[in-house]
Amino acid sequence: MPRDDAELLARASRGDHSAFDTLYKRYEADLYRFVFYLAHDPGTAEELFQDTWFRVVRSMGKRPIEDFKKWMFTIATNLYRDELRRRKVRRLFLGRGPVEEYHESPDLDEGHAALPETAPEAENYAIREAVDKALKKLAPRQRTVFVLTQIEGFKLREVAEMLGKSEGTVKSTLHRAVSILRDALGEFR
Amino acid sequence: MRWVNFGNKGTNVNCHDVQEKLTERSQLNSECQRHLDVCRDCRQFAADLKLMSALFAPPVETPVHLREQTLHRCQDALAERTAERRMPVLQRCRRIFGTPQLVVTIAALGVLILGWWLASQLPDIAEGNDAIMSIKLAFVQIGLQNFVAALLFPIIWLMKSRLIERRRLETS
Repeated sequence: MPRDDAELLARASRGDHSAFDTLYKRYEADLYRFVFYLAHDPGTAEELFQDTWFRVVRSMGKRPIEDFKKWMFTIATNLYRDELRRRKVRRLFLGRGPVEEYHESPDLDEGHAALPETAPEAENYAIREAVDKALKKLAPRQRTVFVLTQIEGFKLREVAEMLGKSEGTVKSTLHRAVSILRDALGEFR
Repeated sequence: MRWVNFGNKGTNVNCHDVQEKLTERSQLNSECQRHLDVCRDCRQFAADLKLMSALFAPPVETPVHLREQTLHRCQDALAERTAERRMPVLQRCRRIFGTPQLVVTIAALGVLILGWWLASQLPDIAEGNDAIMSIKLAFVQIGLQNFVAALLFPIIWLMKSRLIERRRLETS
């Protein structure tokens, strides 16, 4: 992590607003991108984004943090898992709930750039749509592992620590996810 | 798992090894690099991975309203947290549990201590006085009941307040 993250975190936990603002500005885009691809639904992504930051504010300073970004992403992952569990319980006991929404095609344009105008842009857009569709086919855990390793650049060991799984499990989950996504890209080769 | 090819292509490693290393973002050694240079399938695999990663990175941006709103609310929460930490312990407890709950809890603990003290003042059960023994047991019973109540009451109240707070955040 950047060398001054620990110092900023220590200052923020003592109530220094400017230190917190710096941390927030440094990581808000990373966190939003992560939760967006994790939840695959702008509404849930917004909730996860806010809840993660609140949890950060509440928990900072309680124990030493070695890597702020890793800690924050672990919080987000845990909140996402809690959310999935809540949906499952709601569906189990009430026979309804936002599970259907979860499988619905999300309005990805809300978070994406405007519609393409030129031919290469159109091709990129088509590929992105195909990947988005493939991402929806991934199980939540596969998506989490893929986004953490391939997009956010965490090492397998770190992801295993974050998810509380063995490195082997993470490895096989990642390979399965990559395989599914490669299939989705097949027609664009 | 759907690997494209498992051939060695004249090198000491096969496609599986190279593609595994690429997926895990491990450093490629010279042999893997040599394999990558001669194997079209592995080059395609590497290009696919690169494309997948590139597709995600640029387009998603935090919506402005969310960015601003979250920052403001976090700043409020931080100010609240700082103020809370500077409060005296009793005031902090009042804030967390609420005054009535705190009064009831302190009263329950008071009864417990008083009951225990009174019971200890009475002669020993071994002396064989049944009336005194039953009074003593009654005090111990009341004390224990109060002790359990004193422990459970604030916990239940805290859980309830957390639930209310969560609902408030969800609806705001």
